[in-house]
Amino acid sequence: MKTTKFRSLKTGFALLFAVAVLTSAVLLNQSAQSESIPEELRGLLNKQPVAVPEFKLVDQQNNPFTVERLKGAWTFLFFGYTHCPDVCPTTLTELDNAASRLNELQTPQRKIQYVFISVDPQRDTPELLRDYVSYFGAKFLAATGGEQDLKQLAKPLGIKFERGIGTETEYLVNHSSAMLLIDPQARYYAKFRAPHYSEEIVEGFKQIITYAER
Amino acid sequence: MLLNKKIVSAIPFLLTCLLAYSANAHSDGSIAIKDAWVREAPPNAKVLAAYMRIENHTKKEKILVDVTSTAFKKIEIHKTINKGGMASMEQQKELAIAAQGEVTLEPGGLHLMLFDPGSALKAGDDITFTLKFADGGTTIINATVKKATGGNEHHHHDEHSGHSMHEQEKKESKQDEGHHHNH
Repeated sequence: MKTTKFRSLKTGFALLFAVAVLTSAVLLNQSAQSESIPEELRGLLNKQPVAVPEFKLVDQQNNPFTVERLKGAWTFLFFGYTHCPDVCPTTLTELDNAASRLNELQTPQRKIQYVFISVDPQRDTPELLRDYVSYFGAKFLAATGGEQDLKQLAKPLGIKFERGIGTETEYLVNHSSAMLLIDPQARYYAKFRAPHYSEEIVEGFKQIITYAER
Repeated sequence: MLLNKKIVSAIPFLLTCLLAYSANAHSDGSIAIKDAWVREAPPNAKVLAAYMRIENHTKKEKILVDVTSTAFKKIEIHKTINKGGMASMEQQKELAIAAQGEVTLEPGGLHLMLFDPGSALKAGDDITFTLKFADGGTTIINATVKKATGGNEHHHHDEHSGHSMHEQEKKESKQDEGHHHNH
């Protein structure tokens, strides 16, 4: 009789202990997941999303392009200029290829947009930008603005640009080659490094939204 | 009869001229240009790019010093550099192709920068380029205007070595960038 009681007590403690261990393991695991970025996203994601500050540019239809336009959709942001014969068209072609594959991921709750920012406002007028981006197929938006206005957006995002060699009218522009991903709350969320390939953009984005919408 | 004799005696001279000309014009196959194409650009684009593979089948280094075409106001040899996260272009005064070697001009790397096309170029147009080498030789080629499709253009010449080399370059450039940011 005594032994049986002791035995059942022992079993009870063992069970309680097992439940406690399991629960804490699950809890620990959950907190670890929410705090650390999965390994495959470490090169892409910012440790903390960075709010895009206020800025004022003009889009290809001569409408104001402000931080409000970055809200409510995922935005791929690429900086360049139209007198760029190699890197910019190569990147926009890859982004267009990616866009046609990312189309199926779009829902009313998950919109995606693509924005080309020209860092050469001296030559890239909104009209020129309109013709330029419409060539690349996807529904690209384009925007530009004065140098200070451009810096207001670019600098906090770690994007640099500077006039390269050339003459007053014929010159090169050196610019950051990264493609940025802004989340629907207008926060700088992830960075794709050059060279850009559509497959990497598509796979990266899929992983990012899985993580972001977890 | 006399005329005939004159012609016959002139043959060796004419043959020599012809040989000399063809050697100079690289039509003997000493320089081979493969997969030459011009990237179609938006109609209002002021600059375009051309890509190709230049093979040197001789035992001497060949140096490309100039490229001309009546379709463009000016042509320069450029290389896209992606360092520390910045994309820039570097003009190349000349381009050396090692003996029995080859150089590939491809998107994101070496390319011909084509300034001010006389008229908007469309996919399917053929453009004639004259490549001039340091030894005085010239090669005339036709390049077709193509709409870029992305992806495989980066390594369209040799599936294996081309791709792996590209991946290697990419790793290096990404490391470069990482390095830069640490400072």
